[in-house]
Amino acid sequence: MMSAAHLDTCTITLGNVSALDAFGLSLTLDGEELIETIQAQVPAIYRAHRSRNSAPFAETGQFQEAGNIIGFLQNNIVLMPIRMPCDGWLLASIADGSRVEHSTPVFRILRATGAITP
Amino acid sequence: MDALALATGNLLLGNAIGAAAIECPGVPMRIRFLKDTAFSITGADATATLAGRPIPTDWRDFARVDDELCLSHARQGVYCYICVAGGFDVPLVLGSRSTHLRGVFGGFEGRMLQPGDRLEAGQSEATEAAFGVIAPADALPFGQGEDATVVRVLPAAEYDAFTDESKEIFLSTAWKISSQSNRAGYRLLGPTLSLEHPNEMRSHGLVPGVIQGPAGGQPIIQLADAYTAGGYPKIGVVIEPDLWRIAQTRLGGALRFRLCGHTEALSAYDEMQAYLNQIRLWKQTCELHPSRSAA
Repeated sequence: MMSAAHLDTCTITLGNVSALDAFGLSLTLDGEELIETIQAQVPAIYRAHRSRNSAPFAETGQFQEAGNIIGFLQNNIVLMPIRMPCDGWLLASIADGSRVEHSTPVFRILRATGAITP
Repeated sequence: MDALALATGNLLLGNAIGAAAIECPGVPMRIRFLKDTAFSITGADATATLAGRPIPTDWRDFARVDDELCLSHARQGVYCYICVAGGFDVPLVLGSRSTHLRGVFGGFEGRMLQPGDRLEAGQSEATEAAFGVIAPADALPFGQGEDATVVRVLPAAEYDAFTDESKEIFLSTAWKISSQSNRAGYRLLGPTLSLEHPNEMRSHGLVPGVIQGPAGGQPIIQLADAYTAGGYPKIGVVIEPDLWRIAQTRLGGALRFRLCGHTEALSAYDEMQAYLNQIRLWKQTCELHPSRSAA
């Protein structure tokens, strides 16, 4: 059983997996897949920040509640929110400024469950 | 003070650009919504939460009954604007819904808001769409990487009445914004500006952006609550598309002036209008196709 309010940005305790590898990572617990991918729904530019001078809106390793904004997709001057689909931790994201298409993976998250909670 | 932020906030909601909003010169503040309301936050880069969830600025979102919008410290900038769909329903006075604090008229009872005040919103058909725009500093960059906020000025009527040395000083100095500044104008601290010859002028009309060189030689920039007339010689006028940059510079911060011509001033104005037009277009798209605002 793993319990942590803030996971290390590079290492998951269960098996020492680098966050950089998290896009290929699978983790099941009692037959339930706990690592999910958040995909872009529209072609855009991925933005971690709302402006050039501000800090990333959310960072890998953080716990986020379902519905929280964790990043943005920029189309022209407009920023559309990327929201956390469930309670969990951000394991990895693509680089700020990356161009994405429909279905491009943007985040990998570790879902909080009864066994893994903050 | 920051007319661009006010226009942005209103356009994100489909309001007229001058619809009444709350201007927050510094935070913190807390607002409770008494009915479901589409709203926006623009201007200073404040730390904001809605019902406990962080939300960005330059953003529109949707609040449910009893949700609280909390603004804490501003990481950058000074003035934050909170708009609601339909605009705040305050009376039109002399063609404006703004508050004139010195005159104690307009806006909400002619005064600053106090804890417990209740404001009504106008009618609106705004949807629950949540989206934002990139910050004006990113969309309309100018003078980045400098040690001060840089704004463009046109030479004013008495520009050539100042000594050549003063004109050089005016354009090369990082002027400090005095703490004796307010919505009417910012007093600047720095070297003294001098005229070639004493110039006794009759009072004449002023507009926001005019930079006066009073007898003491320390410039004053007229801002949102500018005096309507004054008699000091004018060395320059900050172009309208750059006035928001001054509004978002803190007291004690520094300003630099860069001389420009009418062509550059009009081009900057067009860029600002293009930014606002893109918001108009996108807002219409999101209202017609709500899925476009969900990434």
